Amino acid sequence: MIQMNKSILLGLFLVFLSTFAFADVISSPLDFAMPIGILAIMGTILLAIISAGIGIIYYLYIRLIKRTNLTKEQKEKYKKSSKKIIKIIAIVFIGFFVLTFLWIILTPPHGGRPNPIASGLKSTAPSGIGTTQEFLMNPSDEISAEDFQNNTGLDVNSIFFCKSNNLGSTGEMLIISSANNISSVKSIATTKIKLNAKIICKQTNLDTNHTLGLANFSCPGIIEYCGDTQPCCAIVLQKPNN
Amino acid sequence: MELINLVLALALALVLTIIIELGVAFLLNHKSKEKILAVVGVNLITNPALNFLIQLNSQLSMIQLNFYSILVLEIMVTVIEFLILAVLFKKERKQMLLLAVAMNITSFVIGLILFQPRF
Repeated sequence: MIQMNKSILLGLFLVFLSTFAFADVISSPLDFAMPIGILAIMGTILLAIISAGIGIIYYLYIRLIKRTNLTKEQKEKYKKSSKKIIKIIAIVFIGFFVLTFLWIILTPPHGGRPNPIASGLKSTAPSGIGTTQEFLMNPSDEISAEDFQNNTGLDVNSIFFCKSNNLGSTGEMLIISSANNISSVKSIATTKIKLNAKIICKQTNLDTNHTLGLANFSCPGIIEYCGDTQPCCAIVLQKPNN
Repeated sequence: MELINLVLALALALVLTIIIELGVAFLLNHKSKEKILAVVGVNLITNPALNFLIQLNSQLSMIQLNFYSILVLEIMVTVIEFLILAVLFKKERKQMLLLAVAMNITSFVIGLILFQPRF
């Protein structure tokens, strides 16, 4: 029992240390990635609660075995097998959390989080139309075209954010700007906003407004700045249908 | 601040679930110390894991969360809780199955009424 407690404590300590380290590394360059750090800390807290639950179940199991009419040898046998089971459960849980964090961190973009917009851009550029999976924008989140240039191969002048008319009043909570020719969107909402995006890419900027069919969307800067010789992609933020 | 809110919300969900499920256990006449500890123990294992998965999904958009996917997760939780309870109370497996199903249906329905999630 003492040995098992030591191994669980050691595991918890390592997960705790590594998640804090990951949280620090990830949250530093981009505000957008901050929730991953929160997720890591939350995971560590939850892991501690789960360990407490496993401890209670183990204590109860031993207590119930003691009460049965089994012989001493049989009770010892049960205890040994239960230790093994508890160890396996603890390893599975710790492994699950560690692997989850590693997966988050090792999966691009944003140094970790698989991003529906980046995936959508990659599958749609240089020409085509697609819709991304749903994603959440947290209060004060800011997403910039720069966030996608490394992992999509697109130039910052090829990526522009737009707002769909179906956003309604939510649209007022999303501020799109194109400072220094770089398009970005910032949430000024106090709660999370659930969105998806229609991604429309064309080979060049020839008559962008017409070819992208953006007349009904608000796309600051796209006409003025979208590259003449490069693909032009509009990320139209919209409310998911469901 | 966001972390504190998140932890508080998860703690509230855990405490509410334990209170509701203990209430159901009492109603089904499982009032012994061992049963109470067992109900608390299984919930400490399953509830944080479930909420972590849901939170993780909202960050990574892995699967579309709707009524049916939540229901599948809830069924998985019920099965895990039943297995743990059945190992602990070998002679009362049928009652433990009934207990696990009743506890989780009640907490699921009360959760839907209280939080009215928009799927």
